[in-house]
Amino acid sequence: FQPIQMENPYKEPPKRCILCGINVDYKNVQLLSQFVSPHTGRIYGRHITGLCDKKQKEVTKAIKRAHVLGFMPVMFKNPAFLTDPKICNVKY
Amino acid sequence: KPETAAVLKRTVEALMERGAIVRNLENLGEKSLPYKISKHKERHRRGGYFLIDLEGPPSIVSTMMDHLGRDIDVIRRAFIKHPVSKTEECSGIIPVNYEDKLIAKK
Repeated sequence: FQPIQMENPYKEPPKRCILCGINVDYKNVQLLSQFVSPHTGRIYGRHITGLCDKKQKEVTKAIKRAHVLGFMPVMFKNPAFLTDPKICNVKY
Repeated sequence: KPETAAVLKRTVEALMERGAIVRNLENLGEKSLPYKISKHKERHRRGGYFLIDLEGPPSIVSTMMDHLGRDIDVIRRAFIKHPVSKTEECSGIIPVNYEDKLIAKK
């Protein structure tokens, strides 16, 4: 008997990041503020947010745009969004 | 409030004059700005946000930025490309084989 060639039946579905499938916009400040430090307003890196390349780039670009256009504060996090659930694995 | 209406009317008319087609005009509300902006010798704390859906020739961008810069009531102006949202193809994180990548580059 010869082994039958077939695709790996135990293959897991590809891992998705938390923003996979969500359209990132510079207008929804709440979503963007979740990837920003509350004390300094700096954007978290890829090792903290855990996003894939494309989404991280998109989020960074959107945050920068929101800064310039006056949607999001630069040096701190909007106090209205301070009590949002923690997405990134930050160690304060 | 009639002042904001007048500003919008002026802007839209200037756009139509240069041959742009206005598709939609959205009001994102009047909020307090995230930081104080000083423009035209005045420190602004509150502002109204408006989004105009535009279709037109790219040559009007510079003239419109000039025009809006001279308008006292406009605090910040910007032209942004219409976002083409395509997130249905997001296939998740594809595991990258770093070994092969390193060898191939050498």
